[in-house]
Parts: sequence; structure tokens; C-alpha cells
Amino acid sequence: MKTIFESTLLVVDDEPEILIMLKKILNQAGFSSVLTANCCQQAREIFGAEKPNGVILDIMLPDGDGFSLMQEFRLKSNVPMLFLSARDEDENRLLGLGLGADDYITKPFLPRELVLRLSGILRRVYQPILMPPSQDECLVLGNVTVNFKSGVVQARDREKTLTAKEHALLKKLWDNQGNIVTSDNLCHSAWGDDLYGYENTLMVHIRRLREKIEEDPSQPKYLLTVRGMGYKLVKDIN
Amino acid sequence: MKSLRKIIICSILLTATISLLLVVVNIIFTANWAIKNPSVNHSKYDVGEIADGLTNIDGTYSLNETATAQFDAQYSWAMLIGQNGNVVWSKNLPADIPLTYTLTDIATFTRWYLNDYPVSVWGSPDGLMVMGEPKGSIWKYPITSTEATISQVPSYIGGFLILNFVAALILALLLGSWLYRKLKPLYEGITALQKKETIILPTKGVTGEVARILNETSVVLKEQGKRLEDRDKTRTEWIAGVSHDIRTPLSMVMGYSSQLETNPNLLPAEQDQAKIIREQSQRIKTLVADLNIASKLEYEMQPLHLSNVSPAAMVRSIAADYINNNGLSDPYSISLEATEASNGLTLLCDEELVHRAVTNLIDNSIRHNGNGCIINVSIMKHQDGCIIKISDDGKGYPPEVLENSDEPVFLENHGLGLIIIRRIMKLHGGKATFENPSSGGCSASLIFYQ
Repeated sequence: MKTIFESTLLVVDDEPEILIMLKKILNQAGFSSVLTANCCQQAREIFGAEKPNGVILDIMLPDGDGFSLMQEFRLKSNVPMLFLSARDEDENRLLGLGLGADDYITKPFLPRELVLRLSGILRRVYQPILMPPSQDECLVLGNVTVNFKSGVVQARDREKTLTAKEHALLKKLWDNQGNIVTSDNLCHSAWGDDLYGYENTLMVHIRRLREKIEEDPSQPKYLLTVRGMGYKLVKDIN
Repeated sequence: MKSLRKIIICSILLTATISLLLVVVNIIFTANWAIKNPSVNHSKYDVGEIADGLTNIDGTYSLNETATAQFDAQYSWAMLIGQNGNVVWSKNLPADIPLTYTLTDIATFTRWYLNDYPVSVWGSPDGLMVMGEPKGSIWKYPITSTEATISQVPSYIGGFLILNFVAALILALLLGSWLYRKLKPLYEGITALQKKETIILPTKGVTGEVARILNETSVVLKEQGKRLEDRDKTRTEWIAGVSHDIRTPLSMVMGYSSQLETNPNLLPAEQDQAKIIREQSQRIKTLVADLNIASKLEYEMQPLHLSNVSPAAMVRSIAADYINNNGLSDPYSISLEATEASNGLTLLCDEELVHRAVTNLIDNSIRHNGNGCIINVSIMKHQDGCIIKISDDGKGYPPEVLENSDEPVFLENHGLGLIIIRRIMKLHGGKATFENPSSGGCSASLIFYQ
């Protein structure tokens, strides 16, 4: 397997039409090998024989439920699993109990959303295996390159080191590049605590971070403030 | 128990007042009677005056006119007993009255009766004047008492009245406490009835019959409550079932329309039509989810999953999600204001429900302002709780939303969104208010009091 799109997927749902549609959606999205099962029994057989790289599981199945089927599969394998739920009630169970599911999506869903979620969890699990980590650990912002492994910020003429907190903050922003990360989430990543009491500390750390990665820290181009919400690391800047 | 105590105290006071009133009425009545019916007490002066009117002119007695009139008015006969014991003058003397008297005779009748005729006497210079009245007309009773006893009469009367009053009060108190003891279980029973508890009251004693009826009522109420609950539960489950069943076909509609929308082989107009199908099916999805949650909130089938949540962090993450995941962009924008005090706040609430209330309001702003709007979410500390305010610069709420009634009402064109928000706030002991600020747009406040 060279990319995640080469992974074998198993889709389990009791509705044949849904299975047909899911297969079409996934094929169109680039996943070439999609297997389907309409009950627990069939799913067990395929899971044992084909050893899929990812599973999409409906919760209500004619001969059992998705929760117990997942626990059964978990005993044999650590492949990523995504739940497909048709009841709001399941949401609480999925959120509350650490069942070991990687993500869940409620019916009805948009194909785009399903593909995004699935690719997300597949990438998270298989990317480190598929890609050499050295390439993955660098963030390039214009003339500045941040190496997360060494914690060094390399600019044209200078080299600076990130402190532990700056590293944690920048890593969190990088993981969500292009999206707003709330101040609360940043605080949790760096200090493992709620924002209250850290408002000024966070601002100070962001300022120092800008001094290291921005060409003009007073007019940042990459690390932007989203007033009232948090900060955002710009995705592509041309 | 307060109201029962009130009833008892009222009854005691009433009884005391009634007894006091009786005493007063009695006194007034007696006094009135005494004034209207004076005892027949011919004053000594009457007898004396009549006696003085009897003149002796050379051994012949005659009664003058005034005395005669006075005599006629009050007496039926009269006689004058001379010093020797013989009657020397008489008027209308009945035949059975002797004409001679010994000292013993005189001493015997003086203050009493003479041959059953009630008599009054008066000593005059010529002898003893005796005046009689018809038999059976006067009742005479002499009172003999010690001076000490007589002098105590006023205080006896006063004491008697006070004793009466105290006795009435004690009786009232006893009656009151007896009533209280008898009514207490009934009162507790009715209170329990109100809380829909099953009650088993003892059915003996004076209040037994009422207790028995109460017991039966509680059973009936319990059964009725259970039937209602079952019906609500069935309805909620039915709605949950329908909403579940609709999801599979809706998944297909959404899935395929979404595929068609991006199918490059279709004409742009056809892609637009697919887009409309996809958008409308997403609306159905929201409606079904709303219906499901509204029915659960309505019949209290939604268990609250309470946890300590930072409301400021929650609204920040909601606002960020609108930009990050839902791709909220021109002509819409969302901003957030959180006071520093609100950052330190935690709220014991059902995070998912409060999240839902806030997103419902933001979704409303987006849906009802097709030409775009600026949405502002703010949070501030308010007493021990907080206020989350969602406002926009759009066209504002229609008048029916602005009536901030606490009872959720179904408003056409607003779906179940507002009902859900009101229910959620009610479950959290808070409230939702809606207004159109003078600066334009609309503003909804979720007020938490804890």
C-alpha cells in the first residue's frame, strides 16, 4: 500500500441500497477496494478472510449491533473504524464511552463529509507508515522553515530554537492549519489547563512565537489573531 | 403543614371570639331584661305617703285624694291596726282578714303574707298601717347574707365572667388540637396526592370516610399518570422510530443529489437543481432531528447529562466551528466577545443541549437572512450565572417571537427551533428572551442563573 486510497475497506450496513451508494461514493473518491456486508455474520467472514485496512460500521444490524461487532474486531486488529449511526441516542454512547471507535458520522450524511472523515482517520493511522517522518515534521512558512523534531526555526540568516510551550502551541496550530484554534484549545495543549488566568500568558507566548516565525511580528502574515476566538495558522500564502 | 395550622388557629380564634361574644350578649340581654322588668318593690315611701294621707279628725279616719289615687293604683286593700291590736280603719278589707291582732300575729305577717295576701306595712302615729295586694300576685323572698359575702359579689361576677372566657378558650384549644390531629393525616395525604404519590391513610375514626376517598383518588391518579406517561413514551418512541426510519432514504437522497451536484457531465442548471435537492434534504434532516429532540424534551424523556462546562470556551469553539467546518463566509460573518470574567465561569449543564441552543440561534440568523448578516455571539457574567447573547444585523424577529412567554408555543415558519431553545433553557432553570434592538437586527439571550 503506497497511499491510503489503496487500502481495502469494509462497509457494513443492513440496507443494500446504502451499501451500493457507499461503494459508489468511495470508489469515486478514489478508494478502489471496497467490500460490503449486510449483517454481522457476513462482516465477520470478510473481516477474517480479507483483513481490511478500515471499517465503516452501521450500529443497527439484523443479527447484532455495531458496538459489540467492533469490540469483537478490536480483539483481533487495530484497524481504524468509523461508525455510521442512524439514531441521535447513539451519539451519547459514542461520545461518552471510549469505545475505541475512531470517529462517527450520523445518517443522513453528505458524501463529502464521509470521505473527509474516513481519509482523516486513515491518514492518521497509516501516514507515519507510508511517509518518511523527516519530511512530515517540517513546516514551511515563506522563507522560514520550522523543524518540529529539533524544535529549530530556520530563517534566511538566522536560526532560533522554540521553547517547549512555543513548540506545543505551534504544533497545535499546525495540526489545524487553515482553521481557527480557540484560545482554550491552545491553552490545553500548552498548559493542560483552562484559559482562565492564562489569557495574558498566552498572548505573550504568541508574540514571542511571531518574533521567531514572522518577518514583521507587528504585522503577522502567518500566525493570525481571530478576535474573540483564538488564533489561526494560514494554510497557503502566495 | 402551614395552611393546616392556619385553619386550626383560625378556628380557635373564631371559637374564642364566639364565646366572648356570647358572654357580652348575655350581659346585655340580662341588663336589658332587668331594666324592662323591675322587681315589684313598692318603695317604703309609697306606703309611707299613703299612710300619711290618712288623717284622723276626731276619731274619724279619711284618706285624702292623692293618697287614694296612689292606693288604688297599687293596692287592693288597707287597714290601720290601732295600738290595742284592733283594726281602727280599713278599706276594701277582704272578709277573711281578722279584725284583731296579737303581737305574735303582727310579727308573723309584717314582712310576709297575711292569710296569703302579700302585705306591706308602715308605722304611723295611730298604729300600724297594713296594705294588701291580691293573693298570688307577689313573690317575696328575703335575702340574708353576711356583709363579707355581699361585698365580694362584684368580684365574684367578674371572676365568673373571666372563668367563662378561659374555659371557652381552653375548650377551643382542645377542640382545635383535636381537629389538628384528625386533619393532619388528611392534609399530608392531599399534599402527597399533589406529588402524585400513592397514599394509604388510616380509614378509622371521624375522618375515615374522607381518608378512604383520598386513598382511592390516589390510586386513580396514579393509574391515570401512568397511562399518560405510557402514552407520552409511546409517542416519543414513535417519533424516534420515524426519525430513524427516515434517515436511510434521506441518506440516499442526500448522497446521490450531492454526487449529481458535482457531476461534470451535467449542465450547470441541472447541477443547480441537484444542489437544491441536496440543500432541501439537509433541511429535512434538521427538521427530523429537531422533531425528535423536541418530543423528548417535551415529554422529559431526554435525560440530562450534567457536567461542569466553561460556557465561554464552548461559544468560542462553536463560533470557530462555524468558520472552520461549516465554511461560514461572505456574505455572512461571525464574531465573538467574551468578557474576562466570563472566562473563569463554569456552568453545570448538559453541554450537548446548550450547544444545540446556541447553534439553533446561529442557524436561525443564517436561514432567515438570505442576503447575509453579521452574527455576534457574546458571553458575560450575570449574577452567579451568565448570559449568552446571539445577535445579528438582519431583518429582526417577527412580532410573534418577541412575546417572551415562558410557555413554548409553536410558531409557523420557525419550525421547532425556538421551542427547543426555550425547553432547553427551562430544563437548566434559566430562560430565553428575544428582542429586536433599536439599532436593528435581532438579539436572543440565553440566561443561566446558577
